[in-house]
Amino acid sequence: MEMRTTLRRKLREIQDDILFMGSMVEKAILRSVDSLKKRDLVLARTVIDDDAKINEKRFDIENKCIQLIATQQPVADYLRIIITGLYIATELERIGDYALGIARITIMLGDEPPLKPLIDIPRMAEKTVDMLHRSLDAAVHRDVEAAKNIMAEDDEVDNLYDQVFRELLTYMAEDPKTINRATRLIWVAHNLERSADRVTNICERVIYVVTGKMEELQTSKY
Amino acid sequence: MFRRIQWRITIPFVLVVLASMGILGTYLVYFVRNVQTDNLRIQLEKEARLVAVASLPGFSSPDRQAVLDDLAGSTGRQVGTRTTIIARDGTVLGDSEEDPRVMENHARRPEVAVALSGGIGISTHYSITLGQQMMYVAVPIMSGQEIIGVARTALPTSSVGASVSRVTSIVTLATVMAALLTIITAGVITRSTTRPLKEMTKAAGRISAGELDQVVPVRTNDELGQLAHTFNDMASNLKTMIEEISAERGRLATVLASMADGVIMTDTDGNVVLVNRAAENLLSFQEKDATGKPFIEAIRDHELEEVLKACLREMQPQTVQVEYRRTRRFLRVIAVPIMKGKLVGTLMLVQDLTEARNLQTMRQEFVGNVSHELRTPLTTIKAIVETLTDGAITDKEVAGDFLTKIDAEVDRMTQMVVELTELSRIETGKTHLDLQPLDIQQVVETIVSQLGAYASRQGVTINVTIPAGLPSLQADKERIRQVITNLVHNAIKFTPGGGQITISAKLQDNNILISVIDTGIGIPADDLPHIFERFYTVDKARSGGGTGLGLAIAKHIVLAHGGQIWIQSEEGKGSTFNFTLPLNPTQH
Repeated sequence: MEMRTTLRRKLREIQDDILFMGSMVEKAILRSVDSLKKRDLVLARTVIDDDAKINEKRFDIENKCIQLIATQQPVADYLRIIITGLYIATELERIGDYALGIARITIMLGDEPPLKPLIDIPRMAEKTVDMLHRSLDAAVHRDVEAAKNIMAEDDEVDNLYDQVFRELLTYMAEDPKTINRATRLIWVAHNLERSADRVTNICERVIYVVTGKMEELQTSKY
Repeated sequence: MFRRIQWRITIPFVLVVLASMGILGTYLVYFVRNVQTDNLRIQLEKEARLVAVASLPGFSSPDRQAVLDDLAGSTGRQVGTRTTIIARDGTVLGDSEEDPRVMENHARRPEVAVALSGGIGISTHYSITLGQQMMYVAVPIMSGQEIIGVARTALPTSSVGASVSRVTSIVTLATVMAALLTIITAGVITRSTTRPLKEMTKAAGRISAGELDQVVPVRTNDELGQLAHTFNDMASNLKTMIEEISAERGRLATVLASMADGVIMTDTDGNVVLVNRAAENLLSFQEKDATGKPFIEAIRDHELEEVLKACLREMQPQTVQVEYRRTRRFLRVIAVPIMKGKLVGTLMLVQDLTEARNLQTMRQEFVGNVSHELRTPLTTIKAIVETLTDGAITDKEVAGDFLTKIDAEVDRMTQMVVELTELSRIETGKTHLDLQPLDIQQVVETIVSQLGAYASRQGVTINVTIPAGLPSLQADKERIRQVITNLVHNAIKFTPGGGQITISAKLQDNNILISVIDTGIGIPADDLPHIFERFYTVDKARSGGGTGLGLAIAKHIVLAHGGQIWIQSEEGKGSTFNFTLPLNPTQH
């Protein structure tokens, strides 16, 4: 009994840490796209600096999980929850890296004149972050229904990606001078699309931790 | 429970009664038996002595056997006592109940043995002859100093037993009566004791269920009465206290609910304890989902979590400004430790800085816009000057052309600076309106004649519908002319060839309503709210070289006159600009 309460407390701590890290990553994505939209190099550098903190948080969570496994010998459900926590932290860290990539592109584009006002890319970022936010809610509440709904929404991000891709292709076809900038923007959109895929991975894990089944409900086009 | 109190009182009482009656009964039985036995013995001894004396002569007669048997028999019959006369050797000489010849030698009988040795023998034993328990008393028959025989008398002991059993039954009856009385009395006492207790228990139960108006009757002046009295005092104090506390709570809740700033209280572990409505709105969550949960789970913002943790760790107020994701509000959050001797939690105040920040952003954008608008003509002039310096100045024709361009750019900049100055003067209320009687029809006609050439170049017709006899109004003629000119000019600019522009004026309440209606390209709905902002142009490509200040100035002039200005527009169909001017303006 004593051991179980300790275990529960530690699990709660890990959950809080993951939510904390989730917020770091959400803000990193939004800020990276904001920096791109506003050509705000200072903000871009903040995102790059903050990525180190995200990585640190991830190792922190990983250590706590390993320590818990080593000292408490959790079984069955508890072990599954811890492993899921480890997995979610890893996925969050990867999304953080995508944000870092976007911030780097902001810096690379630097002073070049904007190719076009950014509309769909910020929309992709909003959508992705919204999905991420709710996927962690689903993880906290063990909500399989919510997790499945979020996975279905990945299509919206994919469609936006298609749209951005086609639009930028026409720019490049019309004027070769835009190729450098357009390619980088496609890369930004790609990073966001990958981030949304990572969110669906988190949702898969949520379903796994509740049902014990690993199901690839829907495979992304990309 | 009260049943148990009843038994706790009754059982000891009954036991005490039983014990005393038991002791009394035992003593009585013992006493009665002793007295009865002594009486019996004394009676038998007296009779035995009489028999001994009476039998003396018989011993000396020749036929002593017959004489003595007669004596024993007659004595026995007359006194009702068994009488036996025994010789020195133990031979029975006479007996009142039995034929002495068939009786065995009595020398070894205990009472006889004692009597033969000169004492008085007493013995109680079962008589085979008579078939019952008998007491025997034997005395020696003395002839001078010589014992010549023994006289023995005997009676059954059953008379003693009868007395004892009567006493026993009386005592038993008394015991039962006393026990019953005790039980009844104890019952009555416990009942009267426990009844007020039961009442108070019930009342206390109702109080704890929330019914605070409880009064228990005070029946007596004893301890129970005092208890009931104290209980009533307690109940009424409790009621007063609870009412005070709930009134206090109500006041606090009202204060919290009506605060514009968000309030979140956490415990020392950072779990949410209390939130107000403003916090729910600013941070987009529900109190019921948040209370008892860790702050990060409810709020989901790591920067706010960091502030909370820092506050708990350092027990010092902490402040942070963040853009909160869920509501897109820009917030300042102040976390204050709650100390009551030791740290008991934190209070987080959430202030909405979004409006203030938007204002700041607008100011920054304004400065940016002004410098941008001024830089464009300056860049052009600089380029022309460089070209001229590089030799174009010698080419009369090109140089003349360039100078015209420079002149136009300088005019544009001058116009902008003039307008900016004007705008800032009107905005800060530093301009004086020169209010004169004004005939709106005359003003409109002047404008139409001035802009007629421009309109016909664009292929646009201007109609004026102003009813005759409109009252004149008090207004600054020059500025009103500026407003209408601006609106009509815009209408011409954004109306394709073949379009119509209508200028109308009419009386509406105490205002003159002036409308400029075009059949032009219209304005997208997204842009409508911003159309009167400085430097706002719907489409840079179509601004036609305007400064972007005209509508902002028009708006401020109308407002300065105490009127209102608004727009209705549909993309592709046209726009209607309306403004009102009060007939008798109060200077603003």
